[in-house]
Amino acid sequence: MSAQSYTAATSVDEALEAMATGARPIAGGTDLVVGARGGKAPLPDALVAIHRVSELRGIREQEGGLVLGALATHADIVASSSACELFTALADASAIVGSHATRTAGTIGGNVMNASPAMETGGPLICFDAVATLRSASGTRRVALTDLFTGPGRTVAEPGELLTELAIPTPKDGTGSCYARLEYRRQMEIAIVGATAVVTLDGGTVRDARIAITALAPTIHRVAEAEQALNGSDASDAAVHAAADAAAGASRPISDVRGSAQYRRAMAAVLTRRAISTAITRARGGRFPIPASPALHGAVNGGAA
Amino acid sequence: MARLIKTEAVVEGRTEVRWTLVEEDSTPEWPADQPPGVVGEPTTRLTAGARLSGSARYTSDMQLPRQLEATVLRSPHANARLTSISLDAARAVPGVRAVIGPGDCPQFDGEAVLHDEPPYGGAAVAAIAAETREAADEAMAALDPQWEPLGFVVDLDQSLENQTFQDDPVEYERGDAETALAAAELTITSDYLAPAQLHNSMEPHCAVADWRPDGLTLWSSTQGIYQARSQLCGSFGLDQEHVRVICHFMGGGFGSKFGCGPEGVIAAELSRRAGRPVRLVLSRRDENLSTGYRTPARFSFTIGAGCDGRLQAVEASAVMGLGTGGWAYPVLEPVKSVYACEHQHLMTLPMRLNLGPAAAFRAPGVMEGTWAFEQALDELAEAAGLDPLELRRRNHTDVDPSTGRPYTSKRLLESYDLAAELAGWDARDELRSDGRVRRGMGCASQYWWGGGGPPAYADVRIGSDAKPVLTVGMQDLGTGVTTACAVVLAERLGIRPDQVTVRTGDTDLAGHGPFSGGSMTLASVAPAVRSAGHHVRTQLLELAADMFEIAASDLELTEGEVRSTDGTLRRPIHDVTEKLGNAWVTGSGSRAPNPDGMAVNTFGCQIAQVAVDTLTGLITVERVVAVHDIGRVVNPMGARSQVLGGILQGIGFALSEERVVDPTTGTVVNAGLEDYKIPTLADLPEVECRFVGEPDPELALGIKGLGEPPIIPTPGAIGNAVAHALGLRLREAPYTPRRVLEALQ
Ligand SMILES: Cc1cc2nc3c(=O)[nH]c(=O)nc-3n(C[C@H](O)[C@H](O)[C@H](O)COP(=O)(O)OP(=O)(O)OC[C@H]3O[C@@H](n4cnc5c(N)ncnc54)[C@H](O)[C@@H]3O)c2cc1C
Repeated sequence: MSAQSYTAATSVDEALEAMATGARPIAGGTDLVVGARGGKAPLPDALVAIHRVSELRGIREQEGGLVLGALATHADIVASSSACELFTALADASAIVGSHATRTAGTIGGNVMNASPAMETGGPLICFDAVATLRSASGTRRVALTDLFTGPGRTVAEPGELLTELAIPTPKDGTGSCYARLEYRRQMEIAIVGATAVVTLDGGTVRDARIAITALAPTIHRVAEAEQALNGSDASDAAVHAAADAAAGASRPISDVRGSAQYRRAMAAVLTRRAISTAITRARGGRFPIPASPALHGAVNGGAA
Repeated sequence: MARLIKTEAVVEGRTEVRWTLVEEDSTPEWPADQPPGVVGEPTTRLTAGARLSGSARYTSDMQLPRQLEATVLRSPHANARLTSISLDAARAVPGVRAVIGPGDCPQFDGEAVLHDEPPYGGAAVAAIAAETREAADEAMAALDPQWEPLGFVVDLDQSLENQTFQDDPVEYERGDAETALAAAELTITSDYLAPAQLHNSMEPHCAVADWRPDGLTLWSSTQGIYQARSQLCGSFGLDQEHVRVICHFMGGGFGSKFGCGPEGVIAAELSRRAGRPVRLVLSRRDENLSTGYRTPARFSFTIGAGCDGRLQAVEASAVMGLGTGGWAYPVLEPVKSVYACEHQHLMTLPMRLNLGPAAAFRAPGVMEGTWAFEQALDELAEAAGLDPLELRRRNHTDVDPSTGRPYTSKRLLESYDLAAELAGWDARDELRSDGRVRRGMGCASQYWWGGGGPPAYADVRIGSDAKPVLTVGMQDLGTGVTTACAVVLAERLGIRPDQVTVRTGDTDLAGHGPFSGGSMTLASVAPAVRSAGHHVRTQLLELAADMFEIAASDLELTEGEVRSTDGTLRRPIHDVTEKLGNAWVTGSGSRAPNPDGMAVNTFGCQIAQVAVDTLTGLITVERVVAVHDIGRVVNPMGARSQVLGGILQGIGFALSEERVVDPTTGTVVNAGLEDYKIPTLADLPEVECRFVGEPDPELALGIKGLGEPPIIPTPGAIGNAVAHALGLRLREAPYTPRRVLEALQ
């Protein structure tokens, strides 16, 4: 599984130079290397490591929002108080990626650019209107996350384009959010079904609702019908149910060893409901633990670890 | 003086008669009531630091000079004939040093290692040793095997219909079950289907072979170094003196790593041909296709009882899917041996399937049998209107019900009482509700062997710095037995366990001993260690007597000191040993047999509390109370960690672990860790763990075993808890969300 060439870039320009001649970037390697070892796809012939590029690191606040460097790890995101407070769904997502080890090695850039339809952070980023900055030797462009994914493992990025950062605008006051996934175990899991809800309340009324579904279609995407069912409503159980049913209706799941299409569709409604209810609780200022997933599934786990 | 004696031992349900060499032993027994000194104190593993820092060297870490990497070609078909293969093309790949195909490799335990008619998907066909992994992969691609696919059977019922047995069916009868059933006041019938559980030891099967003109050395991840040595002698026609097997650190085996395995034979043959050391480490996928699993089994019970819940008769059958290897694991043992029941007719049918060979897996047979039968008993309790624990108490037996032998010790009733108290059993109905999340509590009994026995040998030597070196003829498969041995020696020499260096896992060291299985290792080796330690102690006291001019009988070794019983002398042991210079004081010990005519068993009870999310079907085990009777507890920390591990593995069986076979291709679809769901540490519930056993009065040092017992009752207790929560019973494990929701509909 060895690559023919490997370089470690120390600046974005160096990385772009290598990518211009066909090298693929490697950040934490938790998708790329693990996938190659597991026989999913061979390693590319040429690799350029970007983990030493300090420009790509870190999370910073800027006017009107937060900027995540492509190398921000899931652990960085969970440790960021702005992420936890303002973009709770994103923290819900990063907090359940793999295990401790995966979260300290795996980056947000790798998570996004790997473009798995079951990956955790896509739903929250889409619902929060995140915008990706893609740079190549020939220029820079910005792509909304909604437009980034084109299929399992595919994005609109060209081979020479490096994701440098993700900018997310601060949500309006009165916004609460949640990402929930159905998991068969508490760590090292892949979403069987995932749902994101970002809900903005104005008094008792839903001003804006964003709902996205994960592992239920070739790409993670928002469900307009579900959002409509909630928008303008009083956030009642009936509205939540209607929105969740609409999300399930929009799902196009596959059957595999992890779950049948039928089970996934049924769970789409359950998970979306739980995500929306928790987002509403949070929008109202109520506390709900991060990550939401284990707590949401009815079980309190004590004991070791 | 040495003697040869004949003894009987029960190993994983099979009785073995062996000749063993024992030494006479004058070591005084430990008193039952007060475990002396370090014994019974929580002791951190001696190897913890090495394991955590990564300095521990496992077989898969071995890197010898000029070592080659090996890969194995495996059949992609459930059953096929190899019609052609280009071994020479593979040999021509640069960097390739040896290539072997069917017919080129010696047999392993009388069976082919490389197959020209591979009988299951994953069966080995050819093997390559090359300078690098990449060269080996390239050679693999050059082999270009051609297959003629053959018909296959992977379905249990189909195999039963065809009557293709992998091992002889086992029939057991006592009394007259048919008549007793007809006359019983209560009868229930029920069926259960247990899944194939894959071992997934953290370290895969692996071997590093170094074949030299003067002999073969094999580093092996093995539960039995001596067994591995004799298998290699058999395969290659070598004598014992020229084969050395080493296993210093091991990342688990759970029953799948007895002996050197086919991988040991392949590595040795490649090394012989290449004249270089060869390492073969199985991939996770190959591991899960070819190295064993807990057998799937279909259980059917007909139980007859009185209105009072007392068992009168059981008819039971178990159809097991053994694949292409393994033996009739004692799946109906829990029916036969746990409760008083006069009339029984039991039938075990071990079927052959086109799947990899089955292997022993932590309490093989007994765990899955307990899972099924303990649930059938709860069904009986419900029919009789009895509390499930009360039903078990009523059917308690004071003698082994199949042989009439008395037990060396048995504290099962005490286990029920303590578990019930700790779990809040009497209030368990208050957990129940009609809500989205439903809770319930269930129990199960635990029965297993253990107790150990000969042969086991140990040597101790102590030099001038007063830090003894203990050599034990065994391997530590990860249970912590090494640390327990240090504790046992430390007690005799009046020092701390961390001052002991323990050498194990090398057939070239003195002594020999048991394989790590059957929960027998510690109970086998500890008495030998203590007796060796006692010899050294006696000599040290004699030396001290000469030095201090106090009679040896008035001296003792305590807390690193030689002390006189009247308190006037307190000197570091080192003051005595430093006089030794470069000389050693040595002692050796062996394990004496257990008493004849008695049943040696461990017992226990676990109670599980679960929460079932009725919308997703997810089950969470919230709490497990585990009470086990294992005799004397040498290291409570090690014992507790065995219990936690057993419970977690039991949770995997009950909730998420299941090998899935595609019926249309006959191949395993979830052989990787991504889709074969082993619980993680985060899935561990709150565990309340207690040991009721006092030292077993009939056994050396009073020790029974603990490796297997903790996994045995967990799945059954979970099954009963789920039934209590939902008011209905799931008959097939694991209880995946899909199965839960189907049952609820
Ligand atoms: C044990 C384990 C558990 C996991 N659990 C989860 C989970 O629960 N949820 C989840 O979503 N994921 C999970 N993953 C997947 C993975 O850890 C995450 O997707 C992680 O965020 C990937 O980041 P990385 O830096 O390791 O990516 P890499 O492997 O380095 O890269 C992934 C892909 O993105 C490309 N890439 C990386 N950075 C850039 C960039 N800046 N610009 C352009 N392309 C780039 C690479 O070329 C590659 O194609 C798990 C992985 C493992 C090994």
